[in-house]
Amino acid sequence: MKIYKNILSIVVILLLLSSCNDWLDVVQEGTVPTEEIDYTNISQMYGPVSGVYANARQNMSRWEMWPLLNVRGDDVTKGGNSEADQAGFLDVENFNYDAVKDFWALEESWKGLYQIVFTTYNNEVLLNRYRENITQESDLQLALQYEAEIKFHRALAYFFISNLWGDIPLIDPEDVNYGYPFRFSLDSVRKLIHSELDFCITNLPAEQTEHRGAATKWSAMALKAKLALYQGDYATTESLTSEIIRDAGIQLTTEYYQLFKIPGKLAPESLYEFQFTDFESGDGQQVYGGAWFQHQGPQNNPAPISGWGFMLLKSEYINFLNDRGESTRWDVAVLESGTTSPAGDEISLFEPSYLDIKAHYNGKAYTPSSQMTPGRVDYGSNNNIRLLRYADVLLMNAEARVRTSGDAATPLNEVRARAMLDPIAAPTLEDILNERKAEFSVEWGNRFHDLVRTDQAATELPGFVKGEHEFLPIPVAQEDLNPNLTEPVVE
Amino acid sequence: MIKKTLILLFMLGQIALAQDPVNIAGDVYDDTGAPLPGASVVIKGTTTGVSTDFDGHFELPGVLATDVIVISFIGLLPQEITVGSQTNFNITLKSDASDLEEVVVIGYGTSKSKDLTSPIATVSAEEITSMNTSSAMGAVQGKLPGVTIVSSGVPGDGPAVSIRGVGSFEDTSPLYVVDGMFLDDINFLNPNDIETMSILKDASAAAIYGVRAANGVVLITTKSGSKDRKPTVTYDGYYGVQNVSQRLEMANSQQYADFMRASGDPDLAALIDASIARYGGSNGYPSVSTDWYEELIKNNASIQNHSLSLTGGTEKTAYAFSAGYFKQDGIMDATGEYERINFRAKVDFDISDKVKIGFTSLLTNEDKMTDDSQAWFQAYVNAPTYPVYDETQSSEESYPIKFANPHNLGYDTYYTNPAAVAYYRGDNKTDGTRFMPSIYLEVDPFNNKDIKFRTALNIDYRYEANTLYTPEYKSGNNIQQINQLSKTTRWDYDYVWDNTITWDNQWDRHRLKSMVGFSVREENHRWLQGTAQGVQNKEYINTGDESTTRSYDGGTKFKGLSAFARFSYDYLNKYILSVTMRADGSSKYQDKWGYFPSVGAGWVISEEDFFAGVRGSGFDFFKLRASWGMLGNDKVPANDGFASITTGGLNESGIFGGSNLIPGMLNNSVYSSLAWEVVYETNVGIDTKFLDYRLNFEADYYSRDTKDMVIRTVLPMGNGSILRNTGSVRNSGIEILVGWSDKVGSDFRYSVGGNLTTIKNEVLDLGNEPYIQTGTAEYPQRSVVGEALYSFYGYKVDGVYQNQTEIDNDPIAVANGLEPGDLKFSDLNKDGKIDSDDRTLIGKPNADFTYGFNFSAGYKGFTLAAAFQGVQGASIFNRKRADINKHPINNLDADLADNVWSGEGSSNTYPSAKGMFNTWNNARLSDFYIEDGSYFRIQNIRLSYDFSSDLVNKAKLSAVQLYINADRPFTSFKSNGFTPEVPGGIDETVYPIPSIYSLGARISF
Repeated sequence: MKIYKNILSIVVILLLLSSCNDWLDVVQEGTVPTEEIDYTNISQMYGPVSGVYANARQNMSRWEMWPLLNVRGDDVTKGGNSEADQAGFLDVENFNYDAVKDFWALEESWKGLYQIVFTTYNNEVLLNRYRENITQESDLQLALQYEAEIKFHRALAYFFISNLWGDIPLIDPEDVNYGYPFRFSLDSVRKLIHSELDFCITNLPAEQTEHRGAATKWSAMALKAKLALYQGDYATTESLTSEIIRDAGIQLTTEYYQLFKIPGKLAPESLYEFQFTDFESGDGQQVYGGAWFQHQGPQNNPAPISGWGFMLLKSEYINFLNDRGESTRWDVAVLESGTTSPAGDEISLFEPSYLDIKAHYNGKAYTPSSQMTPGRVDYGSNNNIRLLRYADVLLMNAEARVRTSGDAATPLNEVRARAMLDPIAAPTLEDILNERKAEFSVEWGNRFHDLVRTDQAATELPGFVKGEHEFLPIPVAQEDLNPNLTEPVVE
Repeated sequence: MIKKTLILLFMLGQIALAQDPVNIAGDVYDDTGAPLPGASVVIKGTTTGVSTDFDGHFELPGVLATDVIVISFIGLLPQEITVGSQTNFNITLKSDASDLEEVVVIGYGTSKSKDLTSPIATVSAEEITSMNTSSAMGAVQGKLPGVTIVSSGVPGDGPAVSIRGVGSFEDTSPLYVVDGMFLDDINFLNPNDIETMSILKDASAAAIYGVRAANGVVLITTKSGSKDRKPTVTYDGYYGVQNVSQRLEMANSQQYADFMRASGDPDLAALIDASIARYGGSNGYPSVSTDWYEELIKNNASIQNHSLSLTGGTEKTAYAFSAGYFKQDGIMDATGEYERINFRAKVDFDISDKVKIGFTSLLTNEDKMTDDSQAWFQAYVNAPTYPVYDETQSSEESYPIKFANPHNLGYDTYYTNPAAVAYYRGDNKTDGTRFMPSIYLEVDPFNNKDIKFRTALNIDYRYEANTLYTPEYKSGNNIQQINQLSKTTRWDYDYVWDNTITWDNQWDRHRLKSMVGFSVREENHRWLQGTAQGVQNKEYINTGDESTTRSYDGGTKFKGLSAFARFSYDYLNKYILSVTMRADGSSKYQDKWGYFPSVGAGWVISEEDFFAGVRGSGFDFFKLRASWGMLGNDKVPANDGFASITTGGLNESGIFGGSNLIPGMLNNSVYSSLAWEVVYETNVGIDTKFLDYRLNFEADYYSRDTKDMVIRTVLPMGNGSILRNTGSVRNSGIEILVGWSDKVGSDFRYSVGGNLTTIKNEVLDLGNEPYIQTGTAEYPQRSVVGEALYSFYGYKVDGVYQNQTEIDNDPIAVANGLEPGDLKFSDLNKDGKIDSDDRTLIGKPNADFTYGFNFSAGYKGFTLAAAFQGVQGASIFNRKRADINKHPINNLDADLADNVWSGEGSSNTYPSAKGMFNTWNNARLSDFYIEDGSYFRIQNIRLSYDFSSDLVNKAKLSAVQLYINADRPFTSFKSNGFTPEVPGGIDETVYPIPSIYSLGARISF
């Protein structure tokens, strides 16, 4: 009988243990459940917003997106150590879109930009949890401002996604993570961007004193004006840019050469830029633009002025600058190989055979070694990446006014004066478009979009066919993952 | 002695007079005539009995003339003798040629081989040490059906083991149970310490391990002593050299120069001219031609192992002690090496007839220096056109060692001198200490019933310290401006507490063995890491620049609770039934409890009356068995179960106004809600023996369906990926094992054996997904219903355009501006263009079948043994070659350089050199990059000599063996790599696997 007792007692123990599931309750380490953040601590409410800035900074500075945005213009070619080096960009440049459907740069840029959209939705959830615990009216106002800062980045991401791909899927806020979205027409995407930006314009402050460089009302207005310009809605562009010019109290940076260098970080001219830092220390961790700078750095040059030699200005563009007598802008836009830069860095000669001239690197990605924190050896370390500039606001304003018969000369000549160019009394549309070409070399695909929207792309860009080449093909890996992307567009 | 004999004689007289109990005595010998200590002598039907002493002698009082005494010893055929009037016995136990009585270790117990309803593969100590490998699993390769082993060449790393195919997207390695402790690998264990290894493959055997059993279970029993044995000291050791006997040949400078110039791109030709300008050359060819692999490979890297053991026992105690030392140098000419010291003690003690206690403790110390395997990859991509060292560089350009710098020739920073990588990146040291104590108590409380209670606590305590130091250096544009030190310590504390009751019950013709138990386990892992830059002393973080010191920590904890039972029933040794059940609770998942039953049945047909006739004609044994059961896999990642937030780090925080970091947070709302995977396994098999048990034939059919398979689903739009329990996959096939062994005369003996395993891997269901895409966006792998897991997905090559007419006649070629020498892809959907719709499955990483065979022949003291193994039907994706897509100035392998299309009719599979630079040919995953991963290998050849016992005894030794051994001397394979054994079928950076030639000795006294 004794064994039966033994067995019985073990069964009893087992039952006790199994009913006692508590023993098996182990919370995973290393993660903080969303539910367990103290959302009543309103002083931490900026956390979700700061996270969005970080995410946008990282994904907008992906190097592979930079050639996709820019090489389709007539100012720059992909560069690199040979034509075969990252040849996919050459296919993009030549509008050979069939060859790039499985090009990795398309896939990664797509994913990076959508990641910003996801982050804005996910972090809005966190912001709303803080908001539920707000007791003071002033904090509610602050929450609205924070919401606008988040939404600004969503608008920014959709702006670039739609510029690159046209009809694009929109993330459903009700089912952020698990949907298989269909594509929406470019028009409805732009409607969404406008409505997000309207919210931003209402709720963003004119000045960000606590978080210097954070998005302001003027950032949102400038982006909205640009979107309207791309849509040909000149009246909206005109009214928005005029308001900025009138009310924002912003000036162009007079130290033009320093605008894209360390002293030009957060210059008054800048309406929005992605901020990086080395924490003013020669070693240790840094927040660094990485390959965004490096790929534009001089080939085979000693560190720190060293990179992969991509994004080389075309001879047509160099001639264009020379013909216009652009000596001030030259120094800003161009880092010429085989010379010493105005800031004193020797740039060794690079003469790739695929170019009819020697290499002229993008001067707007150049940070002189003398301005770098001693100890840092990475090209562009501690520098920011500029996105929206007051010069753009002025030139958009000038263009809109030319088209709506307003005074275009004042805004145009303000930009020309800074570039040490003579004023034009009665500017034509062509004057303004040429000014844009000279001012915005290798900046966020401006040149390509200017050519497309003014219907010059087919004549100026070899291989471009109107109606076929405005937008890149959707990456094949994305179509593999979401077959709805090959379905007809939802209006 | 005289006194004893007198008493004996006196007793003898007593018996003659009446049926009174008498004392009997005797000596037991094995079939070589050696005395057999520790043999059991029992009066049949009672528990009265004794064991033989050191000299094989026994005395047993109180025996009746009508009694039958049973004399038995493990591994020998038992004998039964009716006592009668005899009182002194000379008994010789014959060895059991049939191995049917062999005791096999199964989960929480043992069983005789003939009573099994499962195909359990067992490996003996001799087989484990028949190859000179650091990990015991390496020696099993090719020897057992159903066990797939992919070796690793990294010193101290064990091979990847999978049992009966890949049934999980996640971890597929089996559970190792070493004397009751659950482990993830056994690389730390000295192979000489292993007594037996049992591999549980089917559900009937493995389901007793429930949620840990889905990938199979490897049970390991370490060596113990035996009672009443004289102490025996054994030395077992070898010393050998390792060499890379077969290597991947790369293009030399001349071939590389031709290739670059053939591109027609002057910028590529300029790289060649730069080499000629800097290092000399003539006729357009550089004079330098560096073979980077040659520079990296160390010849005659040493490997050695020394083990010393002491085993023995007294009347109540059995003990085994051992010490082992193993050292292996890496075959990269850098710092890599692995050194291991093991100490082990195992003691079993009988407190009384009813209570036994035992203690085992294992202490292992491992020191490992890890090479940066990136050097192997750099050796592939770097051009041969520059030397290892270049003293002409200024000390600012390259320091402290003047490694030549490819950037001087115009190469970008993707390229680093491979020798510099090996030199500067090799200071990666890991010291680990592992202490595994275990204790058990076994109580046998009843005199007349075979009931045992056993409780055992197994503990595994590990401590590991890693130091990774990168010195200050500069090699062209690859710069470590300030030295960097990273130190990581890890602690692990795991335990398993098992409690079992076993009851062996026999009545009439029935026998029922029951076992019930419960078990508690816990796994704790903690780590702490510190980093600093600019350290003065590379041992200490605190000598670094204070502003750069950082620390990180983390850990995990899992708990498990289980109850289990097994009932094994047999009737007349003819009909066998085995039922097991396990209930497992795990802290990893929301749904905490899972239930894993199994049932197995066996029918020993050869015991049936109607078989008697067949039996006489050489068919000795025939068993039919079948089993079904459920197994769990909780090696899938733990469940997050909730949305979580990452906060405060650089990646989550915005920067404002220059350098003001505002701690930010990112909400991760993509999270998994997982449960364990469940494998449903069916097995049907036969065991047969023929011709006086000399021929052994086993065959099994298995089918394993993994359900609720955990799949990492990539979410669209770049929203990361998520693990889901969705879909199922089936692995099915047959396993065949054949063996023959015999003696001719008394001096010549031989054996041959072979095995074959087929594995058909098939996706049965993927939930609602049409397919699951893995791999990278450029080189996708697809799992499609009805096809194998992880199949490579890309374009099919039809051939190479041979001439202009062919181009002109093909609209596709015209549309894409192709030239003769470009690849012709299959237009699968016949729509007149090549696009993503023309992709298909072009290969699978797992084999169709694996096989192995071996023979051994011995004459007197000499034995020659050899083992062979091979794999058929796997594909390898040559990722190294495909790298030319992004990096056209890479070097190329010699096979490609030799075979590129060079005019009409020269090749119909390789594009022209010029074509290799065209994204049409190089940028897509096509079967041009897919190679045959089949191979055949001479696994091992060993010649050994056992000195004759006369000679040995004169030297007061008990056994001496010397051997020479060659491991993996030759492999026949077609793929363009160092080895066809590449994990996951993707050849990117694979550490070469060396051949090992060694000399060894085994001496005991």
